Amino acid sequence: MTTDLSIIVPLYNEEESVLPLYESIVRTIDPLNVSYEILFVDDGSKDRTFFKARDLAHKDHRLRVIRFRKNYGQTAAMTAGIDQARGDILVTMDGDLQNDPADIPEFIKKIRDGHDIVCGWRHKRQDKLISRRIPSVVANWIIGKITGIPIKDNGCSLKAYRGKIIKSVPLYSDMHRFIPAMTSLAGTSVAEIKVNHHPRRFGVSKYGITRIYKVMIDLLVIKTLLSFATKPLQFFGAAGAIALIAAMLLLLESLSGVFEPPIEMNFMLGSGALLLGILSFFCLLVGLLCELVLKTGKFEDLSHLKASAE
Amino acid sequence: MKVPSSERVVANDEKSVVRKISLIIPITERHDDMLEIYQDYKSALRGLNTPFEMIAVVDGEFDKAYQQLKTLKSQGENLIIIKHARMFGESTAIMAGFRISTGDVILLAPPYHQVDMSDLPTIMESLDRSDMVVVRRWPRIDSRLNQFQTNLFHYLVRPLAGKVTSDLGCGVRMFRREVLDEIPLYGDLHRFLPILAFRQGFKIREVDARQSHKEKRLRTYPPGTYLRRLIDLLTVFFLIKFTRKPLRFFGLTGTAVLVAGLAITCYLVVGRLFFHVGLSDRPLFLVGILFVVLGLQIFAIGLIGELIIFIHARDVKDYQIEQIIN
Repeated sequence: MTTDLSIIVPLYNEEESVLPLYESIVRTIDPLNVSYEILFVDDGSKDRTFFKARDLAHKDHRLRVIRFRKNYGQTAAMTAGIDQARGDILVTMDGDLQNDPADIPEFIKKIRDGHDIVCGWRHKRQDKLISRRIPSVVANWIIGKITGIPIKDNGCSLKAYRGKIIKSVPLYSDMHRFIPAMTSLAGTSVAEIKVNHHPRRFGVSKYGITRIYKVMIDLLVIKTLLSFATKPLQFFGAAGAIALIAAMLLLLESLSGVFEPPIEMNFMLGSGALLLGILSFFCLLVGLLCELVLKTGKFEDLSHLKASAE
Repeated sequence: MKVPSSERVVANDEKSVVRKISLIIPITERHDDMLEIYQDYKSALRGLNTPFEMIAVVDGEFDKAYQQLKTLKSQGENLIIIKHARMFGESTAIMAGFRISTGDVILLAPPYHQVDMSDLPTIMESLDRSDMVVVRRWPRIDSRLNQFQTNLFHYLVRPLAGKVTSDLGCGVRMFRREVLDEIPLYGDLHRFLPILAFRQGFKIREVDARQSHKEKRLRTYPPGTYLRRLIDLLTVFFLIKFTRKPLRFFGLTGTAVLVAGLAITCYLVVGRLFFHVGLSDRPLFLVGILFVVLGLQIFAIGLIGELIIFIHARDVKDYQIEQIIN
């Protein structure tokens, strides 16, 4: 038996939301006539989230519950859900009822239209202006500029993926925010649709403004990876070659005084030449090492995915 | 988020009862009279009213202890002895004992008097809703210098690993079998078992137990031991910082060093070009260049580490699943 659709919901201390969430998902998906499963990932909740979900799962076998041993964060929860999911199409959403399951059919339609990733855009966002919305707009603009994939709302959890593609994307630390950027390596087609956004009904927001710093550092990491990841030897080789040529020029220049008295060597240029010479070799070695790492990994698979997924 | 304590009890239910305790005593260089230790531990375990077994691992040529244990065994005591032909280290000894143990709960205890074993029931009780109980020797009655050593060590560990326990030097630990199933110990990792277990998602609890009156005397170690402790710190650092987000840490450090180096170099070059301050008598120039090279190297190391994690992220699990339903 194949499953068409997996809905993945990370939950952290959301005991009030479990039941309404489950009900609204079932209410929306049942009329679609697809085979589906719901994955609730309990991210080490300290309240009764897991037990409420477990009781539901005993009644409905389409609901699967994954329980973490402790709190590992949203990316880990989503990764676990993605790893365990059996569906061809994967939909992720927040567990705090701010996303509306009624939007899911639209996502499925987009994926069936041939897009690999569909991102939600909370165009009428129901959060605090100063602490949530403005930083978000700025962050999304920067992320778009740096990764080259202009998505208006990277932070929206409501997204849909083609299962084969998302299962091969490296996801770790807080990378779930950058899934579209990460998959761009595989040449995926990304679509964006407007979604509803409700104000928080239960519980408290799990994020503060401090995460901006983390996001920015992650962005730096991703930018570095995206620019080096596919052809590190080319990049470092070119950098090394430029450094080496510059070193040679400087060396010649610094030695120009050696042949005629009074014999002296330009210390500054000589040191510069030395520095650049060391760096050029270092670049080459790093490039080789990166190439080696890539060759031993499974990264190459990613670029062939697009073809196989179609 | 604050959760009422009654709720928390419900959330962590379904921990099984203890069926059997395996006491493992790794016997290394520092050990007291084994006859005394054996009787001390045995009477404490008897008080728990739970089946138990005792495993002593003699890690190397400690003839006196080995003979004493053999004597105990020949007197009909129910004791398992493992003897290593040479010293393999405490972690290896613990793993050797663990491999043949059959209990669902493991109790590690040092081969010397460290904690008053009459507090064992308290320790066991604390295991009820956690996976590992770590003992803190409190109140301390040994020499101030020893206490200072403990404190200094934790002072250095804390910024790296966070505060998981406040007495890593205490050898008495009680934990469920799964802990060592998932965390293979080697080298000097046994000391950091609570930190590693915590990171693996196990629930750790710390309880106070009285320090044994026999641990009063001042202890100093050869300088090599202190050096090894420092290297241990590096191990923790490596496990924690490097294996998760290398570029986050090394990228930042590398960039800072690089910027410092560039600043120094630029300052000196500007001085040379425009103000005719000779470079050959400025040792600072070498420092600047050194920093540039160093900064780039640190950054590159972080990058390579990140690349490795990026490539293998699909194989390395960032999380531990406790249970899947349906």
